[in-house]
Amino acid sequence: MPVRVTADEARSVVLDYLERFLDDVEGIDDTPLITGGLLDSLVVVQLIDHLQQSFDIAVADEDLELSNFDSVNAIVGLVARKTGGS
Amino acid sequence: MTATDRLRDLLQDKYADRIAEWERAGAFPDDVASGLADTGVLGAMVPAEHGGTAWSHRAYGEANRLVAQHSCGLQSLLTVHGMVTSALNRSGSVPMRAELAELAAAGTVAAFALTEAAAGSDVRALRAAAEPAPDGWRLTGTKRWVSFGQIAGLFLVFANTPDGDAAFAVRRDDPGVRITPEAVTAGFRASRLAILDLDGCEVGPERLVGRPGFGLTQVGGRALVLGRMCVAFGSVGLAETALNAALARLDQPGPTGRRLRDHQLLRGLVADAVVAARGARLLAESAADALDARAEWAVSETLAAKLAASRAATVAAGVSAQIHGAEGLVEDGPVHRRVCDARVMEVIEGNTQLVQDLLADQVLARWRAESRPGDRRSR
Ligand SMILES: Cc1cc2nc3c(=O)[nH]c(=O)nc-3n(C[C@H](O)[C@H](O)[C@H](O)COP(=O)(O)OP(=O)(O)OC[C@H]3O[C@@H](n4cnc5c(N)ncnc54)[C@H](O)[C@@H]3O)c2cc1C
Repeated sequence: MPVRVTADEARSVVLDYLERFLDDVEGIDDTPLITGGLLDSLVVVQLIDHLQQSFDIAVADEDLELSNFDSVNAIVGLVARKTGGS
Repeated sequence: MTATDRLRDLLQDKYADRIAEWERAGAFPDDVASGLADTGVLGAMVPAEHGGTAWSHRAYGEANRLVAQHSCGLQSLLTVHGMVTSALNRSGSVPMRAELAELAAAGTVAAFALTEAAAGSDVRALRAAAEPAPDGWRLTGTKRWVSFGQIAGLFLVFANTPDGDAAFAVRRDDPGVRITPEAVTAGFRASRLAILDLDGCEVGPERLVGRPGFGLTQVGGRALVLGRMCVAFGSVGLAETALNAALARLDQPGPTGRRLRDHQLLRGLVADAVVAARGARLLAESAADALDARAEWAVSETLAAKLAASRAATVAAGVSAQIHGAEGLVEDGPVHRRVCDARVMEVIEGNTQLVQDLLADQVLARWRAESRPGDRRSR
């Protein structure tokens, strides 16, 4: 069972992760990550795995919409929904 | 007896001569996969519920190594077939997953169609297009260098939709599909490469694999991780065979009784090649174990294994060719063939320079992750 995660917790995990690959993650909450070409395709794959493991959630095929992954805010929203947070 | 033991025996007892003959002739037969099907290796990346044999990455890697000892071209069948079957299993629609049993057990080959004339290493330059059609999708574009495309029953095709890049399962007998033989490559020359033309090819909605916008990542990216693991093990198999041939030659008494093994410069070549091959094997095994354990840096380990192993293959094949002198230059002989096959290993599933680039990203990311004082929440 996923543990409830607040938006702030989710955001910090996502930003921590992105910081491994990007130099400056401040203020990128709405920047397109995938369509903007910021993340290599392998890194997107690893990001999805990292979210599943960090939050104990399953990212299903139905979740694979750009509107769920293309920005930090979108990912935070997805994690909140998946963990029953808000 | 494990599945890999069975495969080893089958290759040795039943196939060694035939494979050598196919390599000499420059073409695997249309039904080349049906013999392999008996070993379960074609269903290795498919779970039992879909008729597969569900091998571990480690076992599948080992199978790739064993097959490559006989033929790298045939090993590349395991690469593409494994990539496509695992992608269909993970991201395919329910009706497509139901067809996995045929790919797993019946000897129908699945091919991977990503590369285009202007989109090789740079997959973002993809031109093939998939337009929504009244009953599914209409695909248009030309795919190049499709391994086993001449005999495959199913193709995993990557194309752009209005909502981003996506993957599709296309059948050989779908309308608008034209398959022509590709130019014969010096390495992997028996692998029946094809050009796949899609001319307004209409397929049903169930053929979409994964979601638009995630074709190159969730479907293609994950498939390439597996593909790189296969290429790593295949390269190890190639390097080991090349080394064995080199050692046999070194140990042969010459006309005056002197053996090549007594030349210090050759001893240096062989020592370096052994270290490269042995190191590559350990990296490949470590990568496979990381994939089986879903370890955090498995992607990085797989890149490292592919890089090291394909280069080890080049080193070992080159050393073997040098030691064989003129015999190493016989055009359709095994020594020269391994040199050509090693070249391919450094080009497919990410060329050496691209893999270096991706690996550098990974090791820098890992360094950042491990050297940071703590996470954001505690800062
Ligand atoms: C035998 C064989 C089988 C194949 N089978 C398949 C298959 O089944 N399915 C499929 O889709 N494709 C297949 N391919 C195609 C293969 O994947 C491509 O050839 C490969 O991606 C390289 O693309 P390219 O040939 O267009 O070369 P390019 O992308 O033009 O690259 C040429 C060279 O430029 C350099 N280079 C390119 N990009 C970079 C970079 N980012 N950084 C530094 N240097 C770079 C490298 O040295 C590279 O070798 C096959 C190819 C061969 C030879």
